Amino acid sequence: MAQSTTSPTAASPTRNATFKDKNRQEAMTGLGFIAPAFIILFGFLIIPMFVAGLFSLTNWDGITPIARGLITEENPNGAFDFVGLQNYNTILLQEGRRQESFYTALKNTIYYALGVVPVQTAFALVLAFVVNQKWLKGKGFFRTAFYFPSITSSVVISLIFMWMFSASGLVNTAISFLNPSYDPVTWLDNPSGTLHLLMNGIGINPTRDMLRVCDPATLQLWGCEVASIRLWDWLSGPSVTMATIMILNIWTTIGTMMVIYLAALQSIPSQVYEAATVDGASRVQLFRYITVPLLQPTTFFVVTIGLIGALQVFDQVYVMTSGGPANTTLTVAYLVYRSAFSDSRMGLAAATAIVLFVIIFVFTMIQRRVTRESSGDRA
Amino acid sequence: MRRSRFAVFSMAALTALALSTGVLAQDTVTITLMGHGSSTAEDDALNASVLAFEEANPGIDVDVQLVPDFDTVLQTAFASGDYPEVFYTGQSLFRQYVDAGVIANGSGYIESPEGFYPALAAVYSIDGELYCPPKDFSNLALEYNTDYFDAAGLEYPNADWTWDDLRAAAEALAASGTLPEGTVPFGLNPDIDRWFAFYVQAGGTFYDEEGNFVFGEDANHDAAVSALDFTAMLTQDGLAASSSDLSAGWPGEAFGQGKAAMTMEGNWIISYLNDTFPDVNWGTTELPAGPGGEGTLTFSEAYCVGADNEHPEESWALVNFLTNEAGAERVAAEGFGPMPSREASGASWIEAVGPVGEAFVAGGAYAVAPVTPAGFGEFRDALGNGVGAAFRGEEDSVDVIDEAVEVSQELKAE
Amino acid sequence: MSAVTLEQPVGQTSSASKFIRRAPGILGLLFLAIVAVVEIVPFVFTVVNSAKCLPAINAAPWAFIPSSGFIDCRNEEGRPLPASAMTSGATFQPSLEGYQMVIARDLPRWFMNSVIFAAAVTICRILIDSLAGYSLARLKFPGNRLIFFIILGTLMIPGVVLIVPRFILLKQLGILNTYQGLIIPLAADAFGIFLMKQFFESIPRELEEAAEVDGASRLTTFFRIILPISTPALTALTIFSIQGMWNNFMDALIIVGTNPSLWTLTLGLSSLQGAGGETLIWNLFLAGAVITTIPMAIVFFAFQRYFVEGVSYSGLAGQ
Repeated sequence: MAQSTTSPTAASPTRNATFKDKNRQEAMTGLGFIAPAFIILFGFLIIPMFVAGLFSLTNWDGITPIARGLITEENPNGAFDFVGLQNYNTILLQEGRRQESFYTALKNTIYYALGVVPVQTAFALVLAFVVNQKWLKGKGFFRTAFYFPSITSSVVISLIFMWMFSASGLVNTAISFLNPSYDPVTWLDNPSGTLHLLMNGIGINPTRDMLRVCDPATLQLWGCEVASIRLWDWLSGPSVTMATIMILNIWTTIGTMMVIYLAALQSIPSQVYEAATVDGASRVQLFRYITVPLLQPTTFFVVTIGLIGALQVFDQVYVMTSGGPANTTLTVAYLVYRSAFSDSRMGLAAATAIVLFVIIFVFTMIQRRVTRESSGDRA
Repeated sequence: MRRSRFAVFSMAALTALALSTGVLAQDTVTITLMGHGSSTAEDDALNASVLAFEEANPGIDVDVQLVPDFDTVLQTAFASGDYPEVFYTGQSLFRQYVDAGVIANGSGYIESPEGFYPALAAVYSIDGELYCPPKDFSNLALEYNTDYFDAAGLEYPNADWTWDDLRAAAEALAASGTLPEGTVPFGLNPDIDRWFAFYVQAGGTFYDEEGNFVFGEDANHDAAVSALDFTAMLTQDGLAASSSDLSAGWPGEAFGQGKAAMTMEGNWIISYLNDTFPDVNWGTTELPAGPGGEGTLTFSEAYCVGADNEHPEESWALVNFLTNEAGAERVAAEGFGPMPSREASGASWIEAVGPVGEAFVAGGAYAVAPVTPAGFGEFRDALGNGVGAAFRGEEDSVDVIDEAVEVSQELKAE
Repeated sequence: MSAVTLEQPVGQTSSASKFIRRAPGILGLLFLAIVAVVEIVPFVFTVVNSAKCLPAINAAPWAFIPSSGFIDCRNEEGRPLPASAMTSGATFQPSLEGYQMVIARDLPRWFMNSVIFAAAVTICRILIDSLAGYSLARLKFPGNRLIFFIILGTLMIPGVVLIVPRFILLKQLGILNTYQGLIIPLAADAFGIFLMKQFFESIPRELEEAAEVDGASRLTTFFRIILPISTPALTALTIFSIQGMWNNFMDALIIVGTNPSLWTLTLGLSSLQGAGGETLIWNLFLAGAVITTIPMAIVFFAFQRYFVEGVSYSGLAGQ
């Protein structure tokens, strides 16, 4: 909004460009500037996305050469048949195994994102603020150290994490040292939900029989199934193993997010800080009332990117758990991979991917409202 | 003057050379062999074999492509319609590839198919016709730590063992007090590609006469339940533990680290233990027999020829060169992890790897490939999770098997 | 406590209160040091274990003090030495076996390919992403917001389902197994465009308006005024781009996977993962990880110097 009001007044009337010409010229420049990027993304991502969208309407297995075409009477060896929205129906609505897998994956993915995004954003902001301080000695060292997990290949990181979190690994050894009565946790093979553990702790502990009952009249709801998953299981929280993967992911992405904040911090003029300091503001106040508000657009960016990344989590699951134990680390992106390349159901995989796309889009929109992007072009 | 004549002469010679190579190039056929990288020694041996083939067949050039993440690359190539003439195919993917119409039928092309292990040939056959000649394979066998057995004063496991003997020995090892702190008698993961061995030993089968997948159904139900009861009890009684409970990446590692006195792994454990744990003393024998007799699992690969293929003759020539009796002998003589796919070469392989190889070869006579139908990922997950829950004592064996069967039937109905 | 306090003359305060004022700073530094250790320990163990013989890695992964010069992992007969012979307590005898095995492969070629690939893509992205980001942030044109959401949308679909369509597309274009096949499709990315857009939105508009009054064209303004003050954002873009390309696996696999002469480090090293047959040869694998990580650490260390507070607007105060 600032843009539309300030630019014409700032433009000198002595230049003979009229208002309209200027707008047209700006539009041409704008399109010209974005054209190279758009052509590349359009050609190599957007077209393939449309093709994937078409796959989602077929029963293609992803192996039969696609050029063999539609299965018809004359072409019985074709590659695929159009099945309409059946794939979407299978994962979303139709009760059964596939629906259960999808919603389990969705549940796990959402718990994952809700846990990872706020923590990594907060940590990254604080770290960036600290390593940006003038007084800090060895800034380069600290920055590089914090960034290290981001540059190490995710396969190596995952393998090393598996080793640190194994039953007698570094983590358990360290905890045992601090607390000798500690009973070692098998971090990487533990399907118990963290929320379940918490609820057990405060006395909510439904028995096996209670989980088989669904009777709204007597308020026995734990066994009620919503989308093939029991209410009690919806409330599991991330499993211990998933929580371990969450820690790993927070640990590796903090560095990346810190760099983004670090870049943004450079655009806060130091005069702003100096003025505030003269007024007697403390460091914490500076951070709270100047840094955080001024970094709003960056926070929007970091949270958006973090959310999109978290909802697509794949690498660590692929390397560390393949979805286990008891499907508690099965994520939607991993389910897509499994359907496409292990189950040879490319149609179903594509439909799952499109649904994930829609979910991420909706989440991003909600998040956009929540973070309140404070930039000029907001409608 | 002389110089220019020389120039003309050499020009003519060069032109002739260019023409002749052009003609030669037309006669030369290039075929692609795609696979995954194996151990360095194995890759070198493959390249040497291919070189020998090219020398014997001057008209054929072979482009060997050993790629990382091979299954993904191959499947993408299939989907695009432009895929290699010859490629590796794992046993679990074979049916899917045949259904997709990308594998050529090898019957009539494959040299002396009767020489392959019958169980192995069956994996790559449809209606009795062998599509792809098996490349090599591995079987599960029982590995035991001789030091632990010596210390407990027990006899080593042998090929006549039954489940009862396994359990008795495990109890004796545990009771002897000679195992180090934290060491269990048996390293066993709730992994269906191990657990299926017990299912087979209990008399279970995977397919019926018509080729329907019948895990845990009808007569197989009792076999599945008794296999799960037996293994779950071993775990719950503290006689067996999984590699993650033992802080190891896989049971072979736990065994090498001395955290398990016995385990069941395939041929790959031989070079692993030799290279990584040279000071561990160990032996092998066949897996114990269950109520349904002897049983082990086999894991194999084959060379398949692509269906959309402009050079089938040359492709089959290459595949036969690699898998005929002489090819099998070459594999055997190198003594790598997997065994040659022909029975006749078993003895040469044992000679190359030593006596620990005997149990693996012996299993070839009765081994079964644990192949689930295409698109049965959900079944494998359900059963794998159930087996894990049963091992931890969280679920009843009967419930686990019933649920797995339910999933299997649901998937078959699709 | 505050940094500003630390910088101010503290002449009139007593040494006791000086200490009290500094204590939180020291604690803060300690906290930073602990976080740094937590972040860097896994890499230290990667380096340490990459320099062990295979049996020693399994027997004593924690041993971190080298106790001798480099040794040979095998005896005269070619049999591997047992772990007991080369580790004791926290000490181990180092070996270069892992590195020798990596270098015996085609390492220099993979390395060069990775460098070419990362450099070309990064240069393209710096130009294309920042132009696009500027356009979305500052220029009004019909469909501006729509285009932004479309671009953002390309981040939201799991890449796994795009493998097959992209492969077929590149095959049709005839650029499979070529350098350009690996560079052109990646020459722009939504993440970078979004990053630059957010950055451009945060810089004061007065800068461009001043230039506009002087009659400069948008292109001139962009190159003369905007880019020079965008060092921090361009630095971040450069770091992310190099890092992304350096570790890129899936695109490289699909586009040049079948042509070993175009393999990048990640492809080459992942081909080594299978070198032990069914099992991982840890020292070889970790040596590969070290060789991949070190250049990135150097790149990062070199570039992070451009994150210097206050530099970008030193000229602005006077305007």
